[in-house]
Amino acid sequence: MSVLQLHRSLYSADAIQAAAAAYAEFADAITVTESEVEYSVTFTAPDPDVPELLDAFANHVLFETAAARTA
Amino acid sequence: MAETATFHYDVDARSVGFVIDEELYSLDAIYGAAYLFVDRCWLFLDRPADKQVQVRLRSKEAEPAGGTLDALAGEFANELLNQVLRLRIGDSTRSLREYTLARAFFGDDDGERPNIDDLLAELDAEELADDPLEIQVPWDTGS
Amino acid sequence: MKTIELPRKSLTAETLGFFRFGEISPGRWVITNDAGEWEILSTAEFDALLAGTIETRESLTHKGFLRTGSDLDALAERVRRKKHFVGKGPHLHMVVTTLRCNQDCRYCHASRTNLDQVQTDMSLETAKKVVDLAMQSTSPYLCFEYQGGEPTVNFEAIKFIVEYSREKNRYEGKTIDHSLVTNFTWMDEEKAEWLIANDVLVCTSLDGPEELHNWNRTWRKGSNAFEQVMRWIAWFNARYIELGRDPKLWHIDALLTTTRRTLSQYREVVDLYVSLGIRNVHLRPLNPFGFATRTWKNIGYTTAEYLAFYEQALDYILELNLQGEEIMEGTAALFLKKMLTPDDPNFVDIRSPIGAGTGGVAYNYDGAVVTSDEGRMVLAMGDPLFKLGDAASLTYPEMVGHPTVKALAVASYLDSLPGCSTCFNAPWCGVRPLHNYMHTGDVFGQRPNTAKCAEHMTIARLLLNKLDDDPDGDVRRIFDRWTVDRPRQ
Repeated sequence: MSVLQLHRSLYSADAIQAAAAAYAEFADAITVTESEVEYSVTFTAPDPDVPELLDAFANHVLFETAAARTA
Repeated sequence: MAETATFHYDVDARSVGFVIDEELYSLDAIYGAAYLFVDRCWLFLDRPADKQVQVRLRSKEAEPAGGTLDALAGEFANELLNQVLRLRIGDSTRSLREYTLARAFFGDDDGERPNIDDLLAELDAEELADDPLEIQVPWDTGS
Repeated sequence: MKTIELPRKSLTAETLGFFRFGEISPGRWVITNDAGEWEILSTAEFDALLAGTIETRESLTHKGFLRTGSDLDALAERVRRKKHFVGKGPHLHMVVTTLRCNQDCRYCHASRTNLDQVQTDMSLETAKKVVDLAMQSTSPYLCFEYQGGEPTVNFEAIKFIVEYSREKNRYEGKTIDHSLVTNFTWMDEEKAEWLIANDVLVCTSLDGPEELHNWNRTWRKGSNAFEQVMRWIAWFNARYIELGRDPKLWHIDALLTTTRRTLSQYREVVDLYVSLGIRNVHLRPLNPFGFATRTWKNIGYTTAEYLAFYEQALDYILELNLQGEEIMEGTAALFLKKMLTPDDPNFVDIRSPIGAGTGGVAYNYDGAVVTSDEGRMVLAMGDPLFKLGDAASLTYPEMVGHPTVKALAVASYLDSLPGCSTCFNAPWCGVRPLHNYMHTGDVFGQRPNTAKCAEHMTIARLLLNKLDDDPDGDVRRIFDRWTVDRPRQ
């Protein structure tokens, strides 16, 4: 299990959900929980063949966040 | 003498990190600059304090060559300044651009291109409705 | 902790019109706007423009970069002209008359079948439906482009579409071109005479000198595909002259597919095209999807390798132009038409929004209507995302208003894409949602990660830098020639 923390004021929930949908095939489950300051994205059984999965996921969330602000 | 912008960054074996003052560089500028590096870096944004954004750019190369990371830091700082300019030019010209694009794609709003109902109403008013030649003028040619 | 100090440019925004900008080489900045206008400035000039202290020059005002004195209505008219295509329907109608083909090219991942598979021929009934649908387009100009398989294997379908569309056009009054893309291995004099008599433009596939062409384009054992292409190019070109047609306008054109082996042979390829009187070498990278890993290893290359090849080939073509040869590079010509003329060439793959479904449509042999030829390939791979319906039942409003067409338009509208909306190349560029989808499963791609972004940025920079470093105007004169279309009629 791997966990990625993303600050609520910098990443949008919609962007995280979009990334989770795009990356669904790379883990048994991707779940998102939130605290007052952060979203926690938990990857259950992440694909071992994708060593930088969390990094790529974070880039994707950044892309979705930027896209939503541009549109 | 041009003003100078000063950026501080930390560097480790594979990444560089900036802490950026959101009062000076808006979130849109930060996103805009960071996004342009997604081909070369893994990017992480965090908030170490109120009104501050930490941007960490981690090279996709496991062992980046000497000098690469400092060059990357320079490029990012440069792009951040450019993004601020882009946003300010965009903001200050928004109404000009909206006018130009509306005029380009939707024609006039001042009645120069009336719709068919307006034309027919006008014809009625001028009692030309019984003039077959006028009625058959194709109103949309040349558009 | 380290420190960087950079000059902060001062900005007097209220003196400026809208523009995008980028540094195209050290100390040289390009500014562009929605009308496709542009200027290249030194760093000092760019800084002065931003600061509102630049010496007023007519071009900056006329092009709308300076606010005072600029004519917004005139600028709007130029934007309207540049984006004329958004008000028109699809003009390019790609018709797959059959999947049957007698070649088995290394890079062909369109679904081809062997010659005995006659069930993959388009029926005349389907061909009629295709014409009926295509001719409902609101575009005043249409081009039917015949593809395959090898389209001439089902020549009856080509004849039917040409004749039926001509008959139908007596009432429509559109300008219609017909264009055939053939490997020439199924050509005979009867077909050739008919094509000439009916003004069908003929384009062949020519991948370079004999060894390279035959390696790429596998034909039946013991035969020579290159010889066949040479024979028919000579035959057609001679026949056009016999019939009194201007050879500058009527000659065989050719399309090049770039494989790994092409990269080192750019001179030989260009020389061959020049020797055959072909005036357009259209360099395009292979679509890097749908290949088995082993095949890609044999024929593929990285984006960086392709772009290095492109730059060398472009330089060589320019060198030949300076010696008086009339030959141009096709992708550069598309960008130059956008940069140097008030119009846009309406090339469906390089525009914003993309022309998939709104500028061009592909019709499969069975009548399936797809957003593009690449969409047809994706359909052949089992994914119907880009299929819009069937020619037999699809209406024109359903076709151009299909949710997939709308999604592709949104995903390729540069003003709404991060990175693209502020890029200097936005007036000239175009993104490929289908490529994004094939690479990442999402039609919205992360622009900096895409090969098309690297390709289009490189080409724009190369062209702008050549125009900027042109003290005698030689490059500009050559590039201007590349933007001139010579209508055949």
